[in-house]
Formats: sequence, C-alpha cells, structure tokens
Amino acid sequence: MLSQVIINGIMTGFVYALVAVGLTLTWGVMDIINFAHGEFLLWGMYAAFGLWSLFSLDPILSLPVSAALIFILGVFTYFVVVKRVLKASGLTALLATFGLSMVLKNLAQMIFTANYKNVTNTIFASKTIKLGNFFIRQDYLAAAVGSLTLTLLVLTFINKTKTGVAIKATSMNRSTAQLMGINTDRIFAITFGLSGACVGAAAALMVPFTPITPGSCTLYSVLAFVIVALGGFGNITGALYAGLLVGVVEAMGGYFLGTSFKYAIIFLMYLIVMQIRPKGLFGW
Amino acid sequence: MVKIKNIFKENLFALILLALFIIVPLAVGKNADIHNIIIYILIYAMVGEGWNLITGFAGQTSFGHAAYFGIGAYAVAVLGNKYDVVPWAGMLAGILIATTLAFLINFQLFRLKGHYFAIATLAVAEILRTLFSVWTYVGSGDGIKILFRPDNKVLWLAIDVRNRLPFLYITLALFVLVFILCKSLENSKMGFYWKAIRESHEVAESIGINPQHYKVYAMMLSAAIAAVGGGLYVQFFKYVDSVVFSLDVSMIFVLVTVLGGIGNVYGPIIGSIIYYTLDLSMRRLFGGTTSGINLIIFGILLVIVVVYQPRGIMGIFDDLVNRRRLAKEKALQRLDTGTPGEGSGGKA
Amino acid sequence: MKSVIEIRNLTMKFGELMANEDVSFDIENNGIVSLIGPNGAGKTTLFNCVTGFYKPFSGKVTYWDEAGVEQDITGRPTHEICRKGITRNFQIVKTLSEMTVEQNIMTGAFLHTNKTSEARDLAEGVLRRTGLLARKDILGRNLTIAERKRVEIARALATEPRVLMLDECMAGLNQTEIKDVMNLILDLKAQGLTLLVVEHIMEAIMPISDKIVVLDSGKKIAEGPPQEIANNDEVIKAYLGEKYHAKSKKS
Repeated sequence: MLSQVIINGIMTGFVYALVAVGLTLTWGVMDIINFAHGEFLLWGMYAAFGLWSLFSLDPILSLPVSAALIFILGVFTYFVVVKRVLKASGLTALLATFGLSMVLKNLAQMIFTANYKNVTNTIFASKTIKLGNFFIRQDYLAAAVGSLTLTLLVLTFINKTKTGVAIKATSMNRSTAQLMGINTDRIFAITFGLSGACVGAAAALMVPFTPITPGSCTLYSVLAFVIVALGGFGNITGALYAGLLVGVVEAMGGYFLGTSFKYAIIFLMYLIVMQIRPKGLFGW
Repeated sequence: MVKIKNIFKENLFALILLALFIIVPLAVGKNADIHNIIIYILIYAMVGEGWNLITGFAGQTSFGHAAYFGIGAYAVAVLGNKYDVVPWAGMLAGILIATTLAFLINFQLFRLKGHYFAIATLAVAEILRTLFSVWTYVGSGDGIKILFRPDNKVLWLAIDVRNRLPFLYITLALFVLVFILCKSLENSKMGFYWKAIRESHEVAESIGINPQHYKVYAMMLSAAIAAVGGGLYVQFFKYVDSVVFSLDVSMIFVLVTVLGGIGNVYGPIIGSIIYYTLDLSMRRLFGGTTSGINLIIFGILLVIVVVYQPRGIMGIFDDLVNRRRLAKEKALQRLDTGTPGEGSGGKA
Repeated sequence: MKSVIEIRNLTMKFGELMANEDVSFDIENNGIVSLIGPNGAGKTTLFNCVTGFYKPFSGKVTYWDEAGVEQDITGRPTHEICRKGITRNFQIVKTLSEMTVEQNIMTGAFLHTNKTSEARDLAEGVLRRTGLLARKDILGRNLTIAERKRVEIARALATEPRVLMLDECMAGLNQTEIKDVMNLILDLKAQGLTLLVVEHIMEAIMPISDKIVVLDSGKKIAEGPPQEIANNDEVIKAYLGEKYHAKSKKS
C-alpha cells in the first residue's frame, strides 16, 4: 500500500515539476517571480475544459492549443506588466503580478463561476494498468510521462537551440548578452511565453483528474513557489527534483496523517530544509 | 507656543485625516453601512502599518501576516468564549502570543533572504491555517464565536450591533496610537537602522548594526500590531475560523499598503481608505453580488500604481509637493545668485 | 610604535583558489598603512577577512582596544568588529540611496546614541569635518561618485572608529578630488585615527603612508616605508612584469 502511495506521489510530482519549471524559468532569466503563475495554470485548465466541452476535444489532444494560449498570455503579461517593472526591485514585480493574479482569478470566477468544472470521459479515464502488485491509473501515468517529456524538452531547448542558448546567456549576464547582440527584450518575452506554455501543458495533463475552480489557483501558486525555492530559484533540474520530492511528501503526508495535513507537511518540510540549506536544496 | 505650532504644521495632513475620521461617523448619522466601512478601513490600515514596519521599512517581504492577525483574533475569541475573558484582556494575550511566536519563528527564519524568506512567512501562516482547521479546542473547521453579552456594555463594546459608534472610536483611538508609534519609530534609531538594512545588509553591518536583531525587533512589533488588528476584527465579526490565516487575508494588508505607499506611514491608511471606499461604491453601483468586479478593478489599479509609481498614491502626492517646492527653491536661488541652473554644487 | 591590529599567517581560500596565503603584518597606532598590489593580489579579500565579512581559512587577527586589552577578532561578525572601533568603506560604493547625506551619516552616528537629536548633532560635526555640510539634504542616489565616496567615509567616521579601513576610496576620482581625499586622510591621522588604506594610485599613496604592504598573488612580497618600497625589486617586478624588469636592469 505504501509503495502504491509513493508511486502516486511520484506521478503527481512530475506534474508539479513541470509547473515549477515554468516558474523557475522566469526567475532564472529575469529575476522575476510571477505571482499569477497559479492563475496561468487555472486559465490553462479552463482552456482545456472549454475545448473539451465545445468541440469534445480530449485534453491530451488539445494540449498544444492550451500550451499555445497560455504562451500568448505569458508574452502579453511580459509586454503589458513585467517589462515595465524589470528595473525596479524584486518586490515591485511580485506585486505587479499579484495585481494581475487578482484580475485573472476574478475574471475566471465571473465567467466560469466558482462551481467545480470537471472534464470527464477522457481517453485514459478510469483505466488502470496492473504492474505486478501495483495499479497505476492511466490518466496519472499519461500526466506524469507527458510532464517528464515536456520538462526534458524544455531542458533540451535551453541547452541545445540557438534561442535557448540566448536565454541562458541572458540569464547569466543581461548587459553582456545585450552587447553580444542578443535582443534581450525578445528573449524575456519568449521566456515568459515558455513559462506560460509549461503551465498550459501541465493544465491539459491535469484536467482529466482535477476539478477546476478559481479558488484552488492560489494553492497551485504557493506550491509552485515552494517547489521552486526548494530547488533553488532559477534551477530547472532543481525544480524537477523538488517537484518529485513535494509530490511524494504530499502523498505520504496524506497517507499517514490524513489529507487535511498534506500541504502543511510540505510547508513544514520547506521550513526545515531551508534551515539547513538557506538557498534551496540545489541552490548555491 | 512656537513648538506646538510647529507640531501642528508638520502633521497637518495627519490632523486633517484625524478630524475627518472623527467627524464623518457623526455626520452620516445612524448609517451602519458607513460605520462598518470605517471600522474596516481602520482595522486593515492598522495591520498595514504593522506590515509596513517589516516590509516597507526593514525591507523583508512578509506574505504571512495573516498568521499574527489570526492569532490576535483567536486569542480574543477563545479566551472570551471559553473563559469569559473580556476582549481587551484577550487582545493583550493575543499581542503576547503573536510577539513571542514572531520572535521564536523569525529568529530562525531571518537566515533566509529575499524570496526564500517571503515564502517561509507564507508557509508559517499556511501551517497555522491547517492546525486551526483541525484543532477541535478552537472549533476546528466550524470556527469559534464570541457570545452575546448584554450585561456589560463597557467591556464588551463591540457586541452592540445597532450602535457601532463607541467601537468605531475605540478602533480609531487604537489606530492613532499605532500610527504615532510607527511615525516615531520611523524617526528613531530603530527606523534608521531598518532603512539601512533594507538598502544594504553590508553597509548596516559595517556601521555596527546587527541586522538579524533589528529585523526580529521589526517583526515582533509588526506582529503585535497585527494581533491588535485581529483582536478588533474578531470583536467586530464575533466569529473567526481558520480562513483568517489564508494568503488572501495576508495579501489584503499588502494590497492596502502598496496602494497607499509602501515605506510611508500614511500609505496604509490612504490605501485602505481608497480600497474600501471603492469597494463600497461598487457594491452600491452593482448591488451586493459583485465581489468579482471590484477585485478586478483593484487588480488593475494595483498594476498601474506599482508600474507607474512604486511608492504608491503617497509617492505621487510627494512628487507633486516636491516639484512645487523645488520649483520655488530654484526661483529663489535664481533671485539670490542671479545665475540660473545647477546651484552652487557645493564641494569643500 | 605600538600596534592596534596584528595580522598573523592569514590564509583565505575560495575552493581551490588561494586568495591570501600566510600574510602577516602589523597596523601601528595612529599610522597610515597602505595595502597595494596588482589586480587580483588579494587586497580586498584581506580587507574582508579583517572586517569580518569573510571568515579566514586560518591565521589570526588581533586587536588592542582603547584600554590596551588584547582581543582575538578573527572571523567575528562585522557589526561586532565595528563596535570595537574598526570601520570600513566599500570599494563599490554603497551609499544608502533613499536617504539624504545627513541621514546616511546619522545612521552611523546612532552607534553611540539612542536619541535622534544627538545623532543629528554628531552627524553635523562629521559633515563639517568632511566638507559635506552644503550637501546634507541631497538624496544618496543624486550624488556624484566623488561625493558618494566621501559620504561613505563620513558614514564610517560617524561610528567614531579608532581604525578606519578604506578600500579604494580614490578610484575613479579626478586629480583635485584625489588631492581632497589625501588631505582628508592626513587630517584624520592628525585627529588620532589609525588608517589602513587599500589603493591603486601610487602617487596618492606614497606621500601619505607611514608604511606600505605589498601583496602579489595573495602573498606579501614586501613591507616597509614608502621610499624603500619604491626601490624594491620584487615590487617593481610584480607591478611592471618580468620582462620590463629585466630591461630596466640592463640599461
């Protein structure tokens, strides 16, 4: 039973990791924490829900669409809000995106109401794979595999493509990158878009087993913050490992102490870990 | 006599505000709606003043002030409900608990810097939220009520729902105390040290400041003020549950302070006035069920303020005053020296 | 002359990189000791080790306070060292930019008083001594670089140190400004302070120093009065390179 719990935790962890990778990207490249990250995820979920309810598109098939939509939302956010606070202190950007999060959250509530929305009858719904003694839900597995694939894809993109290397260069030294002829403005916009695409995709992978409501996006934001900090701000592989850790701790906490404690355990873990490693598990 | 006149002149803005807060509640007569709004304004402005100490002055972002606010509220409710302790004594207990907790937690937490610290404050509040939502002694998920006490109206002021005025003035008096405290702190050694720490840890250390200590002092004072706010809040609503610890509550303090002007003692009160006046007028405009629209407008307002003037409404106000003052000085200088432009550029 | 600070066998490593290796020298009471050396010689690192910003890997820093009591200050926190009477400035200026010049200096002055009015009086004295009185109401961020450097010195002075440590307080200044700072340093010495100065600009350092310590690649290569240092082969080699040194020998 415990190993079953751990397996479920790992699978959730992969999805968390993808969400956190999106958040850690913007920090790494432009030292900005997007407070509206959870709201991006929420809108990604509503995008998947909308496509499903209007065109009966399965979320897994419409994943590129929801990723693209949130990519656009990210780029838009960059140009309208973030670009103007790049030179200000870290708190300023955080507060500006907090304002944006209020807008996005309440707009969602006005349009979709606070009632839970469910995407049902998806391809992998209520099917399981039996693996030895374990049962693995196919929708969880699809989300985990999808998230891992996309996380690796982001890593490859950053390390291998020309744009990716430009992003990396910008993250190391903004002004030097500028001198080398990199259009940092464009790089920032792409990074914010990419960050959005990560949560857009994660949203599509999550909706088959996650009820959607505006109230839950704060929790997603907060979890993403904790994961990113645990992994060390700006560290993509760190975010991946921290995502897995949080997934497992959450599942175990829920199993041993009851579901009402599962998030408190994560926060407690954060406080304890930070006493030992004040810059995150994988930060320096 | 001259001294009194100076004090009057230097604090003219504060005195005008105070006069408004005294007159308006009387002028509107028995308008419970407006009285309630004014009480809201004062409570949230008060906690905003507290948040301003640690984040605005000392520069350590807290997203978890709901923790101390909630403790203040629960202290009054639990002690009143279970042991018949009067709210004012409950508030004192709340201050003590919140301050102690702030000391114990933050002495450790202040090893963290920047966002790592901000997330830790948020984690503390979330842990408290979970604890209070399952702890049966404090009513777990159902929350806890303050019971109706018609027998002792003096000590249980807030209980009289039909006449909020006495409670309003008590809240005002407490706010004025907090305001004076914060204003004098700003001009004291503590305030100077906080600002030095905010701008540069290294400079602070190099001139003999122990940043850890001064940040903890700021957090303890801040927590005490938040607890007073929580104590008033629960007397006003007569009920509290674990939602009081949530991030949304923490962010209201942030919102009003940033809107009005972070790092400025007038910020929280100005921000709070704007926030709740808009809130009230929008509810009047759209009817009761518009919780969405007003928050969307606040969101947009926050973005605009932060983007165009990070020092908030007070920042805009200061700029206007300074521009006039500078223009005046420049004109005078020109008359004095007969040379336009830069001034004497004095270097010895 | 009696020493105020004694540095013995100080070694500082960053990973494998040896920033300071076995450095020893004394800072004499009411003297001006200058620390020179080419870029990357480990001057600022040594500075940071003495002021508590870094914990040295090994070695010892001893300080004698006003009463002549010997104190081990190796690796003590910076603020504690400051309270003992050793204050520093920063090579990369760190003026408190949202505060006026006067407030910058008051922040330093608060070390010895809890009253704002007293801090203001103390600050006024320092403003006079450093010639900043006319600029007292200017915000830190609106100052020129020379003024900022001066404010840093003033802020440090406001803590009333016995030992003032100045890290490249002349870099980036023009000739007259350098002259001003040189005079200021001499004034401070006349007022009884002890100074440790890290500097690149030889012409400024030579005439005012009582003693010069030369670092190269983390090691001390020479120590002595200015004239002696100016003629020291090792020093010329370190500064001008082996090739130039050989050439100058031949001619």
